Amino acid sequence: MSGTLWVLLSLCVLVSPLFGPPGSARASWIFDADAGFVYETNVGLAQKARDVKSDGALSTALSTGLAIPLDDRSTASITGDLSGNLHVELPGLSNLGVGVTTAFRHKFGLGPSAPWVRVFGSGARFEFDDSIRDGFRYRVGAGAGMRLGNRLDVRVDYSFEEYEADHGKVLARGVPGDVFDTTAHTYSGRLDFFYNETLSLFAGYALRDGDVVSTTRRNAQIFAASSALTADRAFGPGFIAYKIDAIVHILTFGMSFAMTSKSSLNIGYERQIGLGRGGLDYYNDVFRAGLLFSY
Amino acid sequence: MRAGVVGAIVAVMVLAGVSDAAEITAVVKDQHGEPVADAVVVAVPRSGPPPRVARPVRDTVDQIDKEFVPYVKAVVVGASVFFPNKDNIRHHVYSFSPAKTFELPLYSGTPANPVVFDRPGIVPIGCNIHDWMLAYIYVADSPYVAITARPGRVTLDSLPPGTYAVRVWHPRMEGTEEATVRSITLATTQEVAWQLTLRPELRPRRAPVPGQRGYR
Repeated sequence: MSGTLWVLLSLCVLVSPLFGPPGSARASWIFDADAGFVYETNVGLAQKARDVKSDGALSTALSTGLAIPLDDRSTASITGDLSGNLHVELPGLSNLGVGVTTAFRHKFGLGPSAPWVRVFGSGARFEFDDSIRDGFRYRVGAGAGMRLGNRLDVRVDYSFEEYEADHGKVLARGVPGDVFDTTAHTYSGRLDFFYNETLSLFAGYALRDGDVVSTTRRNAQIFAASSALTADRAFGPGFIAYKIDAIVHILTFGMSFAMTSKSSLNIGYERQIGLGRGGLDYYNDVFRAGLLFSY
Repeated sequence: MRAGVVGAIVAVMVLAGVSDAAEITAVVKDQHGEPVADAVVVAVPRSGPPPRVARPVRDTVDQIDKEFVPYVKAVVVGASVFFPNKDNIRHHVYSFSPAKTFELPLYSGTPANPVVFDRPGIVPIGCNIHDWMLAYIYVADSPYVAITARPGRVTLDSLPPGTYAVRVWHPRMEGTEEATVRSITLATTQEVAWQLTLRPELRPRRAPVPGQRGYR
């Protein structure tokens, strides 16, 4: 699908609520907004201390569309998604995204404790300040969950992600330049604990198996282990983006304060432990704080 | 002579008024001394004939902005309750309660037939699409039932003089309703206070949680 068509499709979904849903008594609006700040201690996923760069970004996301109950236990949804990240130290990483997500959710029974399954597919176009990362991201996935008693929610998810970048500049003869064409499988589990009506805590673990883009200065070890490389101007002169195969363990903790029935204040921490092929290990700590609104 | 007759009539009316105007003002507070709204107060005569239902037998619990309104509704055994959906989306109302198990599958507008609550008890109701939607129907075995307002007070009026078992229930109270029973002999007006220990509310949260998609 061409980029223009993709953007048009996304915009159509985004503005569809303005014109009313088909069958106003059937569908309900979705309007989710997210704004916050994200700080990463190793935004380039580098292995050596000399290459590690930290950065923060203002982050915002907006999803709007329709949720359509199909029967007593099933709901389908389609949303148009807009996102933006404005980086402080590394402006080349600042980006805008526009995309579409469709999902289907089914509950096996009545009540909040009934288990559910959800499948989804999404596609989005991303444009970066430094255009080498521009491209399309496609995701499909499935998840299941249930509420345990009055205080716990548990869920497991699987997703497959593919990113297709526009550019693939060859830097070294014989070595592909399609660094940002990546795929990955992610398996995750998460537990939410509801302390009371306003405060909830969550913890999760994810295992990501696939391609990782690591940006470092030139070094032989990563060169030997990488399957593609190209110059990465977003990190400055002399930095090279390498595509490596890695298993990433991701631990997530956070808390969420309900401010109103439709909004919350959230803080979170994520520890990424990347185990790359050829001993290329890295660590990245991600801190998030932000506001969520959901209509 | 004429003044004497009028005086006698007034005296009889006053006495009659006194004897018929018994009422209980219930005051409900929580463990912190804060007033408790949505507490059900029921008075059941200890003796005498069973009280006749003197309330409307039809009632409603609305669905507005993906919430049930009111949060707590008190009805008397035999009452018919309609569940009008005033949102422009569909809801699916249900209850698992032993006092009344029912299901109103996905609908908009007002279902043609009400739900009849024919047994006393507490009936939690929910929506299977929007899990945070929760309300309670208290089906009372006495017509002398009311719900506290925000100041934590309510008055049960027009009670015949006599002795009553008066009890209180709240969705979040610790302990049993039976433990709150007070035996009260009414002549005129009496104020009775309860202090309840309330638990945190633990219904599914409506406010967004990062990484969760709610019902979508």
